[in-house]
Amino acid sequence: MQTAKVWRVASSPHIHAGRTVRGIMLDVIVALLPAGAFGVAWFGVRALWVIAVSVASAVAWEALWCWLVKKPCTVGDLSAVVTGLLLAYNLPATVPLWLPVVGTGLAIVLVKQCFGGLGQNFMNPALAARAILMSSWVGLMSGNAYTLVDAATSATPLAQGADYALEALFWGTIPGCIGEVCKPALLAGGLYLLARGVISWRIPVTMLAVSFGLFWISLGSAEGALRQVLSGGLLLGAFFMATDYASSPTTPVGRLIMGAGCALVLFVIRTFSALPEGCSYAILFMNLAAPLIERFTQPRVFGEVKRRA
Amino acid sequence: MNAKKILLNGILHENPTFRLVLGMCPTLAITYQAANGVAMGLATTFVLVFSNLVISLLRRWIPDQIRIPAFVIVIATFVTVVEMVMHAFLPDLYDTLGVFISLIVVNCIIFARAESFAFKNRPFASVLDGLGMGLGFTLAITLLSCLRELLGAGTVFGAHVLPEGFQPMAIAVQPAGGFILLGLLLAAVTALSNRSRKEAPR
Amino acid sequence: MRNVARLALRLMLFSLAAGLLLAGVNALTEKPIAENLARKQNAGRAAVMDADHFVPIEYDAQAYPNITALYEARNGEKLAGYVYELCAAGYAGDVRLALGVSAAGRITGIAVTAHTETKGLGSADEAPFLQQFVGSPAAPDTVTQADAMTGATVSSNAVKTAVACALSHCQDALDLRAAPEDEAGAEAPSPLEGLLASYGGVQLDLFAHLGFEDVEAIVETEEGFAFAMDGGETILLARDGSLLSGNGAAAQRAEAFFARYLREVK
Repeated sequence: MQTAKVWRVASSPHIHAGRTVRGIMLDVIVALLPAGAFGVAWFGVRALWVIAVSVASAVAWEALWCWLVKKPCTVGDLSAVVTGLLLAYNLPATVPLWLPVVGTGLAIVLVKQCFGGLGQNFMNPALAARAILMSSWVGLMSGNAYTLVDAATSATPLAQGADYALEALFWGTIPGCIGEVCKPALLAGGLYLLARGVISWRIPVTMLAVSFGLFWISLGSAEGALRQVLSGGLLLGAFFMATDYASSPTTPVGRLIMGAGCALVLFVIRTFSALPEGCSYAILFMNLAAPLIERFTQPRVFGEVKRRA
Repeated sequence: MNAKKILLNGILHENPTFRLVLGMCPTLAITYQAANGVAMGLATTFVLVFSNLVISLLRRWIPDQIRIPAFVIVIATFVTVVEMVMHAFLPDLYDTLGVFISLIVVNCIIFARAESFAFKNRPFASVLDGLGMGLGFTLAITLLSCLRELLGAGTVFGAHVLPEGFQPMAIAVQPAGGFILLGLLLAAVTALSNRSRKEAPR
Repeated sequence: MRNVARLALRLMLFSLAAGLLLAGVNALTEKPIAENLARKQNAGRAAVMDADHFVPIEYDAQAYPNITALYEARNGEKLAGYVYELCAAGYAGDVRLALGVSAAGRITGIAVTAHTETKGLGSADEAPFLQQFVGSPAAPDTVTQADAMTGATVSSNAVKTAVACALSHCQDALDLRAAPEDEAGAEAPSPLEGLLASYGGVQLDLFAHLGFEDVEAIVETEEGFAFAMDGGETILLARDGSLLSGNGAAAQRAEAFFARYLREVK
């Protein structure tokens, strides 16, 4: 007979585990710092300005919203800071400083607050804002001269971006968005979050593994696949953006599906379309599918008898 | 039958775009330029007025079982008239609006008013209702298109009103931006009307 | 059954009345519509080539699928050139173009006559994009070296495909070749043309707001990179960034640009 898993069920009273929203957000901020530090070091002081303006304006928008709707100010839970950071990390360092202000406005007010605030957003706010910015100001958003996945207006060899050394791709000495280039920093941050229990391993690991596998099959070489995994915002997205609590499934199987789905959509976008950055769209796509995924991956309730159709 | 009340109804209380949320297809598709908004609104108003008139005049001769095909015949006829006239005398506008002129046939506003008003009321009242609804629609989509053109191209009716340094927000003239802006406008109008209803109980 | 007949008769009467009304309106508007169409087509042709009249000629529709019509442009009896009416599949439908090629083998004009694209065509990007074709020789190189419109790759490719088809017809069927020094001295070559002429190679794309507005053009060559700076200087850098030729502040700016954006490339 199989040994069943033992579930310990206790009734109240319980003791508070000590976790707060603020605490979780602080963990995320700490995890994001290395990538940002590298970004500033590599792209220059301009990157620091972009990050600062983005964070400050995100906080300002949230405070403004709370004041307008006459609700208690939620700035203290630091979620606006995280959104500001994540948006900044997804922008090139060369954007004009009003761009992150508009972006954080869209992220905080439109995507997050208009739909119910923290925990109710149906899409990752920073990514949704980035997608809107990308559609609105294409030229400003592709500020670096050579994006890694071809988006240049003239088909010149350098601009096709296939020529970066693997070491450069890994360490981040390449053009790109502020927070997405330094892979060791992102990995360190991701591992920190895993260790602290802030995120589950299911989404990032599945996302990276499935995309690696898909590219390996499609390109025929492991090195090519590795190169694809290390390009663009995949690592940043896998650890920090796809794992957003409100817009990803909560069930374990659901998370596996989401990771795989993100990887699949990313693969399709990068292989078959002319879009420069597939990761944000892939994650947004799966954000929309998350409620459906969750509905179909609900675990069986103890004692439930399956009804015969 | 209060003429003023019927007219104002279509413009304010039962504005087809913001209150009845009808006719969304042309609203989202062509409102990327202010001139388009005005043109489409006026074309729709023309069709609304005349189809309401004809349907109201014929309301005793249209058997109930075939009222839907009858409405379609009347509406489609007037839309075709508009299309032909535009093609002949306003070719640039015809090119810009393109297939959406023909799509006025399936604009829910016209059908809804035919069914719910013109079929049950006298001709003069029906004409006023068509006029009111048409004007309400025109005002609504002109407002939306002015906003979209302003944000997305920096111009209003083709005239540059924003300073040179303004970077137009391209998404505003794309369907996605249209959706978002329409949603925001709807929210604003609903909030305003809720507030006025709270402050002045009728 | 009687009822159905009655209903059907009613509907038929309505349809008859509608049909009569439409026939009347049609009679009134038929002529203006035809006139508008002819005027638009003529305007399209006249916009790309200055000529008295246009004579339609035959072409192999199978071999050149993008050509919808071909005309000889004549001033009196003299052949001024050819006008192509082209059609290519764009992002959201067909893109129709008119292209004029002079008898001397150069593109005289290009205009978009119809499209349903969402962005790019019809926007501010369209004019500079089309302008780069004008004056170029009627050879396939003209297309491969053309830049696309930002954010409108598919629309740009549609135009390029159509133009390429027309130009290959020019070369193969009409045997038009531009004399190399046809318009020499007509205007000073652009910095980019100067670089390409001197060093060959391929143009690199730039965005001015990167803070390097004094760099006019960059060309990637076999040895490295050639920069045309806005003071008229030409700076040559090797692949590793070392200075090959040029000096002064312009050389420092070129090196700074290299250090920032053109680092080690395999």
